[in-house]
This record gives sequence, C-alpha cells and structure tokens, in this order.
Amino acid sequence: MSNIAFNRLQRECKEVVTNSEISETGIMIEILNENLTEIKGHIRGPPDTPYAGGMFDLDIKIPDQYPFSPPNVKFSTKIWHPNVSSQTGVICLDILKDQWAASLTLRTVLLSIQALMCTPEPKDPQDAVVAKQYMEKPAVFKATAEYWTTKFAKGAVKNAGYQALVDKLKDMGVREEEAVSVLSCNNWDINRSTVYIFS
Amino acid sequence: MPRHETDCRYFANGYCSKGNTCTFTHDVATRNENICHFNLVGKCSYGRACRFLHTRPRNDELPSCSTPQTSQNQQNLQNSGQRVRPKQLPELKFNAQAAEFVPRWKMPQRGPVTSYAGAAASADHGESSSSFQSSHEQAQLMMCPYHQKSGDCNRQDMDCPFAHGNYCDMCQQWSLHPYNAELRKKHENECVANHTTEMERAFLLQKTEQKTCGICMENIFEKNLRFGILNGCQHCFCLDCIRQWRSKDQENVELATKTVRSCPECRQHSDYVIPSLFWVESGQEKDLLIEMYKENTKRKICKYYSNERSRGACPFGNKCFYKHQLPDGSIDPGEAPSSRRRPRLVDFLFDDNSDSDEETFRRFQEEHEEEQEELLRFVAETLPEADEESELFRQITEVLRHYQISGHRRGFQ
Repeated sequence: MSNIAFNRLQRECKEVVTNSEISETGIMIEILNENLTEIKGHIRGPPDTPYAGGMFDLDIKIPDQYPFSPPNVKFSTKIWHPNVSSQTGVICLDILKDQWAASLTLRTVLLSIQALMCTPEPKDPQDAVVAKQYMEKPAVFKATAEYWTTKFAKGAVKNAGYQALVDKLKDMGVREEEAVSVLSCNNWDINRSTVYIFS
Repeated sequence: MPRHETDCRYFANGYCSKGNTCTFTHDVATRNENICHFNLVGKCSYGRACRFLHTRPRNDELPSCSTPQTSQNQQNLQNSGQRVRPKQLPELKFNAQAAEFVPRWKMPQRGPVTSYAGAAASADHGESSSSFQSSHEQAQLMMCPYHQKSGDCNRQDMDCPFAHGNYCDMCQQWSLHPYNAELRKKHENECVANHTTEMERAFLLQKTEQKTCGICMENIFEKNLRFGILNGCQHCFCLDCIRQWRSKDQENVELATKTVRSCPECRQHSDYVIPSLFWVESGQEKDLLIEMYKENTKRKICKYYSNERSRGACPFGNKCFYKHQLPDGSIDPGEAPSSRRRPRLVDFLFDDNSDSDEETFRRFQEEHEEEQEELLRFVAETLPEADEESELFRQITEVLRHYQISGHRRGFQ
C-alpha cells in the first residue's frame, strides 16, 4: 500500500474514533491488521426503519490504489435490503463503484450506507427478490427485514409467527439460515418454501 | 660571484638566505623593498627578525607614484648601461607603501569642510564653487544610511553631508526627507505600496497555511507541496493528488473519464488544473492566476510538437495552452479542436449526391485512382479470410464498385 493511503487511513480512523460519532450516528470502526488493509465497520440500524436496534458489521478491504479507487465494502451481517445481496452481503451503491470520489472517507462511506438503509433504491436493486417484495408487499418486507435484524443483528423486535415457520423447517432438517432465507424469498409461504427446498 | 645573469627572486623580494654566495644576481635596483603590512598595523610577530621593512611611509611620499629615491635608482641604472627593470616595479613599490586605510570620518579634521565635495572645492580655490554647491545639494538629497537605519549617526546633524530624515511610522526608519516635500511624498507612496503587498501576502499565507488536501488530507503548506487549483470549483487539493486522480492511466478501470475529470468533492467538471504555491480561492486572484498560468505554458513547446513523429497530432488544436512551434521557429496556427475527429470511411469515399459537378468529380477520380484500385485489391485479398467482418467488407466492395461504375459512366459521357 502506498504511503499516502496509509497516512490517510490513519487520519480517517482517528477521525471516526475521536469524533464521538458512536453515540450520535452509530458508526464505529475496528482495525483488523496493522497495514490497515482490512477494517471492520459497524453501523447501528437507523431508527424508524426495520433495521432499528440492530448492529450491522461490514468488511472493508482497502485496495492498493486507495484513495484513488474505492474501498471494497460489504455486509458481513446478513441483512434484508433491496440494495444488498441477502446471500453475500454485497452492496449496490454508486459511490462504491463508478461514482467514487477521492475525497470520500470511511466515515462518509459508512454514513452513506446508513443513509441507504434508511432509503432503499428498489429501482436499482442488488437483490431482485428483495426489491420485488419491497415494491409489491411493503408490509411483508418490513416484517422480514425486522425479523432478519432480530435474528442476525441483535435486534429487539420479536416475530413469533415467522419464528414458528422457521422452526418448522428446521425440524425438517433444514439449516436455520437457509430456512430463513428461503422463507423470506417466498414471502413466508411455508408450502412453496418446502417445495423449493426439497424439489 | 654571480654566475647567472638572472636576478635572484629572493633578493628581489627583500631577503636571500645565501647572501653573497648566491649564484644569482643581487641587484639593489631590483630589490622590491616591501614594507611589513603587519608592522603597519602594529601586529608583526617577527619583530626585528622580520624580513620586511619595519618603517612607516611618510605621508608626503604617499600620493606620488614613484618616489624620488626610485627614480634616482632608475636613472643610475640607465646611466651605468645595466638592464632596466620592467616598469611594473615602481608601481609595485607604490602598492606596498600604500597608506593605512582610515575612514574619512576618523581623519583629523582639517578645517570646516569635511565632505569630499567640500575638499575638492577648497583645493580648487573657488574656481568650481558652483559645482561644489550643486554636489552639496545633491548630497543633501540623499539620506544618510546610518541615520536612516537607527536614527543615530556618528557625526552631528550639521556635520554629516547627507540628510538626516524624520521618522516614518510605516517602515519604522528615519527615512522621511527633512524638507524636500517631493521626496517625502515619494517615500510615503513607496511605504504604502510595500505595506499593501505585504498585507496581501500575509492574508495569502494565512489562507494557505490552514488548507488541507481533500485527497491525502495532509496540510499542503506544511508538507511543502504545491496546490492544484481546479478551474471549475473552489476545492483544495495538492497538485500530486489531483493529478493522479485525473490521470487516465491510474490502474482503476471502473471510474469513467467524466468522473475523474470532475472535482472529487463537488463533482464539478474542470478542464484543467493550475499549479500554485499559494491557495487562491476565487474571483480576480484566480483569474489572474489562470492568466499567468496560460502565459507560462504558452512559452513551453507542446509535447506533440517536440518530436518529428507526433507533430501536429495535438488533440487540443489551436486551443492548446502550449506552444505549437515548428522546427523552423514559426508557430503552427492549427485548427479548432472540434473539427478534429476520427476519420471515417465516408471521408475517403466519393459522395456523388453531394457533389454532382462533373469537373470536380473527374479531378477527384484522377487524383485518387491509384488509391482506389489499391483499396479494391486489398478488399479482394482480405475478403476470403475475413470471416468475422465479411459483412463490412461486402459493404465496402459494394460502395466502391458502385462508385467505380458510376465514375466510369460519368467519365465516358
């Protein structure tokens, strides 16, 4: 990694850590190695969204050409969001791709992701199934996103109905994660999910 | 006895350790009677053993170039038929006997006139009293440098030939001429102008000191870097960073040219970056900077014109900031960049719809007959192998055939 990238990252980490933003915006970073090439980001789910109360982790990989090329950011916590792959956690956000600008920092990137969690962009989806659900069945989407938040991001909202369905599939010998995923994709229709899994 | 005709150079310089046994000529006339410089200032550590003369030249000896003694010697030599020393010697002697330097103001006072001009005037006994007057006035127009700096001159006000000025608040020196209004005014104007430029500089520096680069986030001034000022917006970057961001050959393929040509902060498009040592925000200063930058680049030769092969291939045409100088020293006017586009096939083919004039057509055909035949041959040769682009080649041949046929038809008419 170039010298400029290292110096800059040091400043950025300092900026995030010292800025007491944890309490205000719920953004944190954690340094994983000394070269600062791998960083863990934490975003608290924004209030008044299905993600409220959850704590989401992100893997940030810094490329050699940073800051002239964007960092590689993806969710390591599973999240139900039209612009994030429910399988891999890859984020579809323009500033992480062709709209990257050298002036953007880790802080602004994480804030942008938080903003994306507030206002999903279903017209430019990463996960088409989620986006379809978001547009066609907003209530189911909200409940599913809340359930995922509780399940994977330590959220507080309990959904006994969904949990019962997941348990049912688990009893059939399906892994919990797969059960949640398939049920969510099939709008919590247990029959279709069973057919999907066992066919 | 001297065996050589040559003069002993040691003796000539005042002392030969061989004395009478020396084989070189010890000629008194050649003797360069050096006076010990150290003795003159009273610091000769050799004392009596010093081989230079410990005598002080008499004051009345000093001004004349050759002392009576030496001219006497010379005459003697000439009379006795001996070789005459080169003429430099008496001058050397004079140099050696140079008087100790005494600053004028330390000299014992000889009467009321102390300035050089005054002394010269008194020597001439009033013959040039008017010139004395004018030179005295001239001196009075100049400021005494000692007094000007510290307000303190070793000589009294009346004594010093130069003017002792009044205190100037601006430059904090005694630089205001005591009575000449014009000079006072001139100095005040200079001081105000200096003050203004210094203020501007200080403001500039203050603005510059706090600026950090939006890309590397370093303080640009502290790191001794240059600013890269964008013409489109007012965001601050160091030159290296912004150049790297805008450069096409960065290993980042994802970013489009449009993205990198815009400001990393506000995405405002900028056509060029201006290097600058100071931070310039906007307005008149920025216009001036841009103007200066363009003037500077205009003096440098465009890289497309620096070698034979790429000459004239500058994509900026006559809008290029750099000098389009041809090898003979003349300037290539060039064409506007908008008219320079990639050549298309149509440009080379004859379009008989737009140009129906028989004469032009015939001339064109004559000019391009060879090229056209060559092109046809090339197409015919390539056609069998060109699988992927056979459609294109088919079109080309068709167009060319059509052209040829119609051309011949017209030609025979």
